[in-house]
Amino acid sequence: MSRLNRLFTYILCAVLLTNAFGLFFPAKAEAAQIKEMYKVHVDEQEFNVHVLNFDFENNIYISINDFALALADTDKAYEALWDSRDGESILILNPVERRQLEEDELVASEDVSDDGTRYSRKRMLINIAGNDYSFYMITVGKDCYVNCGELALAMNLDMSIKDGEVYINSTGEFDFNKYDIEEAGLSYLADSCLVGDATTGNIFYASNEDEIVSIASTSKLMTYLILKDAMAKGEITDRDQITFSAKASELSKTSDGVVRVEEGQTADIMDVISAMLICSSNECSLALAEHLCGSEEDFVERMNQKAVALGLSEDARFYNPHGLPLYHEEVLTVKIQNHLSANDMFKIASHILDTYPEITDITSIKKTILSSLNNYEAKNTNILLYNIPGVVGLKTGTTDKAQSCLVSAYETQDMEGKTHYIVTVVYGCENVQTQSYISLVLMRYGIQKFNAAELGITPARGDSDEIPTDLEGMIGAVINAARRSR
Amino acid sequence: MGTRKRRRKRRRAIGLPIVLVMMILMIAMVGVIAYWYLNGNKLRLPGQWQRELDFSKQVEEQISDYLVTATLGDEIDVSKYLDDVTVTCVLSISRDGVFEEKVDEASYNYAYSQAKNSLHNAVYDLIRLRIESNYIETDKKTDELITEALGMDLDSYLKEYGPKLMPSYEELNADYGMTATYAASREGLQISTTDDIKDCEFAVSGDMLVIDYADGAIVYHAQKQSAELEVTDEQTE
Repeated sequence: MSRLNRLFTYILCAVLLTNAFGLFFPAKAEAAQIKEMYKVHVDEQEFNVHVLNFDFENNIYISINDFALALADTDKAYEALWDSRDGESILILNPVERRQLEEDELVASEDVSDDGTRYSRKRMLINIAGNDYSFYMITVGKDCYVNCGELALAMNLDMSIKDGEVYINSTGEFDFNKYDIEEAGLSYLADSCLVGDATTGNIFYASNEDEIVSIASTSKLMTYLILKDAMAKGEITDRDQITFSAKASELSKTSDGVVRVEEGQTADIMDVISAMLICSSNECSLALAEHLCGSEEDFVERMNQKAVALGLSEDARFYNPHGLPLYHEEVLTVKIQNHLSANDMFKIASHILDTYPEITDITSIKKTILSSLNNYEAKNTNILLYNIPGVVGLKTGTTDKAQSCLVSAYETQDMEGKTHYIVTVVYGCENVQTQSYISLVLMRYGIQKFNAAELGITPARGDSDEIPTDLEGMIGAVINAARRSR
Repeated sequence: MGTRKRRRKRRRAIGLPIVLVMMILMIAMVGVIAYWYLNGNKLRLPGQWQRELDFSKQVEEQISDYLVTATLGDEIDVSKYLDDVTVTCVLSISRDGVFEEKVDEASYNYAYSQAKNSLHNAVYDLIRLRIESNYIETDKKTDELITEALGMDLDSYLKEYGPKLMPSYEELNADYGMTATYAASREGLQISTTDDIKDCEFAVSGDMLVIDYADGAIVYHAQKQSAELEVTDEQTE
């Protein structure tokens, strides 16, 4: 066979193999379908709006352009513009003066049926009325589809969906009560969840809050607490230099590594703490533990002692400072992970925010350069930082067992100007989207409850622990009683 | 004079008075018939009459509107829970000119309890449907769950927070009740209250009274102690 023929044969085989690979392992394109148009009732007017039911029916993503027309004659009117920020596209919904629509603008758009096109959902920046959010969105040509619930929350719209039609009261606000959360089954999207006022200890809503769960990298909050206690006692200072051990360096080079470091490399302790909290660096957590106690095991001992001191559950247990799974040192070994309950983590977060509120100086950072760590660009993985102005932290976490977790804090003030932190704890969500969605809903609910209790701002539909006066609320209360009785 | 002539004279003397009496009786009868024909309505008017106010449709709408505020509420067919919800109004017309109508309290209480039962049953079934749709298995009965959740039974809850199914007894009496005087004539009926005088036509036929007001006719039916008995008494006087 001539050299040219051989080359041609090799290329042909490579092409065939690649295609065959693609057949057996197709690229995972997220599925989406364009469904029939949804009717959107805005006050007294009716509009047809394009929607995408993403993967599942009722997982509604709404066309931003069509929605702009629907809201044009309301105080929530906006125009959608694309812009660029730091090299990243951002969709801006600029508030505009309300206007009456022309006759031809009221004509229904063309209906679009499923043509088999597959679209991708991507997390992108969107600016709504001057506030930045990071939502999963789907771009279709020049239009963009945003999750209906997230949009309603961000725009503070009184929106409801019934029989496949959307109803909007443009003068109302987005609000809900705990029966809505229960009835929507939101609490079942997480293994356990909780929202409360960390300053007063008042819990607004909780589901399976005492169930012991794996907590993944949210463990690093306890690591931070131990370090700060040590700083308070003078054992270490905020000017220390951290030297990375071989163990830490090795960890940084595995799939669990975040910031690649070499044995003997040094960095400022505050940069290392920032890397631990902002981008969840496991090697930095290990290095900090070793710096304080000389060994990971001694540091873990302190973590467990602190758990007892804080009055956490008897079954709360730490095995390492970072939250990664590990195997027992036994012949019959099993994979173990740091574990405690949502209630326990609420106590840890409350204690930190009360004793060391400066944690929020780090955890509220969206992006920063850590100069002593090879100028590493640390990006915060806490979605709520982007989606609720006022959120100041705290920590994400993900392992196969723990799934997607998030502990968040929102800073606010009461009537006397005293700072309060609304904290959400969400454990065991199937993915980041679910984790951020539940956290978003719970945080909004917590803020609503706080405003009602502390600032006398009564939510539109009224939510209290007293007898619900509406039928839906009453049925929700009975369903809760049924669930508790199982 | 002969015997035949005397007999003829005797027959003439007896027959004439008989004819005269018969003629008088006939004229009297015609007079009475004419009187009855012209004044029968007025004569049969006094007595106890009643009409039914049907609130079934209103109650059904109230319950439906209440249920649809909850998820799956529109899946409950309210009509199957609905009993007849009618309230009786009694009209008393006396000979001495009193014209009084009021809502019969016993019938109102019964109708209201029927309406409440319909609401209770519809809401109860909706709660059951919602529990089942959430795939919740529990040993507790629905009534227990309701009491546990609300601190009261369903009836008490609906009484406090449920919809207003029909007007109250007092409201109904204000709308349908009346105390007036009347004057009846061949031309019609004049009903006078302290603020108003209404002229209307009326007709009594069998056990039915129809009063034709300017804004519509109302049909009454005789009650048990009916006007017929009154008329009989008049006749014997």
